[in-house]
Amino acid sequence: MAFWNKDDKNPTVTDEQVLNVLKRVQDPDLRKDIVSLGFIRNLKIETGKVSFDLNLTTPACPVKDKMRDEAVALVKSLPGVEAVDVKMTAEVRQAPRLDKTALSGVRNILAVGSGKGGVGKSTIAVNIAAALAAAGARVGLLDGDIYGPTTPIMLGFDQPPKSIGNRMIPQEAAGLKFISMGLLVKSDQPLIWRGPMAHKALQQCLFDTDWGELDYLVVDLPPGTGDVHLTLAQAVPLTGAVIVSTPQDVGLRISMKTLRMFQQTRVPILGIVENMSYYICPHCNSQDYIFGHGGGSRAAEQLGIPFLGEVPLDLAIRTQSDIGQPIVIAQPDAPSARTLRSIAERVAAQVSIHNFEAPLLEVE
Amino acid sequence: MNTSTPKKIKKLSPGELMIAWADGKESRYLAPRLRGMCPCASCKDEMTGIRIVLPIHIPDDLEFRKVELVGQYALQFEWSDGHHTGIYTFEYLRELGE
Repeated sequence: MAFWNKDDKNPTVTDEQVLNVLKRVQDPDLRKDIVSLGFIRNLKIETGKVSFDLNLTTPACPVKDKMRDEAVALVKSLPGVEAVDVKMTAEVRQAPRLDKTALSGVRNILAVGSGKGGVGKSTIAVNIAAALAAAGARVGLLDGDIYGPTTPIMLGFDQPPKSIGNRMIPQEAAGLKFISMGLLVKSDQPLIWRGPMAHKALQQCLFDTDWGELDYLVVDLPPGTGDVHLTLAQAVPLTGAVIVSTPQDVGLRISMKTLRMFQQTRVPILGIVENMSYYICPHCNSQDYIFGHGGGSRAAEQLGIPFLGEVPLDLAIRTQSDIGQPIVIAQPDAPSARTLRSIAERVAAQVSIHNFEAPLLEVE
Repeated sequence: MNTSTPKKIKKLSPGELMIAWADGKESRYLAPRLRGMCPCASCKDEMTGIRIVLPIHIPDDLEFRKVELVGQYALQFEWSDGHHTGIYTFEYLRELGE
């Protein structure tokens, strides 16, 4: 068939035809097609040229390239279509119950916790937050580890945040807004706080901080199941919690306590991250499973919760943390940075799933 | 779906609260009776479980002054007698509503 006849045979492709064919593209996380989900925006058709926005539920969507490619191929297969122009956009949905007026601009609050200390919880929290920000999301990080705040070092801060009136202004680094409870006291002073003080300090960091508009507020918790955890679970409706563990049985068993605490307060578990999964030798690049292998994924499977990934003991993660530049920002192509980025994407996908499935609670 | 997940919480009158659960069941609570089941440590001895605040201490015309969600697992009430420290988990409320 001659090229110039194409338009005569199929004079115009209609919106309906385009939407019909796009219905075949599924969002694998939300298990619905992208048309029913309302992802297609600004559909325009001009003599054989089709353009639309594909508006996802997170800029850190792990399957966005795949969905875009599928959509483009399907629309292109329609007779009469010569060019397809897709703009990828994202709008992070608000957790259904996040209605505290002081935090009205914050769409999702995610907690990162662990059973015991020293499992690299802060490293994971900082890198998840920085990776989400690098993907284009608006992200805040609240370092709630009052007893051993390491997050300020990882982002290069040693001064407390400024305040205007009785509102704290978050500091900014690595594309994040950041507040540390630990920076509210002198850095070389041990923090000896009774429960009620920890409770008050966390409430101030949550409610008396100018977070502005955020898609995700990541809260780095202290280890264990203490006052800060309980206050957080009571003060705000959390979208979910990420549990960080090492592969060792002892680390995992203690992590279970943190996990049960979240379950008892009905905080959805977004998944388990296994940190220090294996050691990468800096000389020969061989991998050694020095703490055992597969503990995290087995535990996740037994508990029926998502396994988010294995992060190696990698010298580069440590050195980047110590100079205050998270590896996902400073060396985005390093293997460990890729792993951390994929974990952040899985977290974002889980948030979208929970917000989609969470039942609405009416209060009159 | 957990049956003790509320779908709707409604104050029917100053002294009565209704919770509609995910499984369709509806429970109604009268303020004085619910106040008498307060699980907090000043109403119920933490070690022995013996009630410290008894029905005779609670006026019949007690009202809900405030009903607040606690995270996503419980409700906290402020009563017209000023008491406000009890956290009623959804499991507990469901049990009381049976």
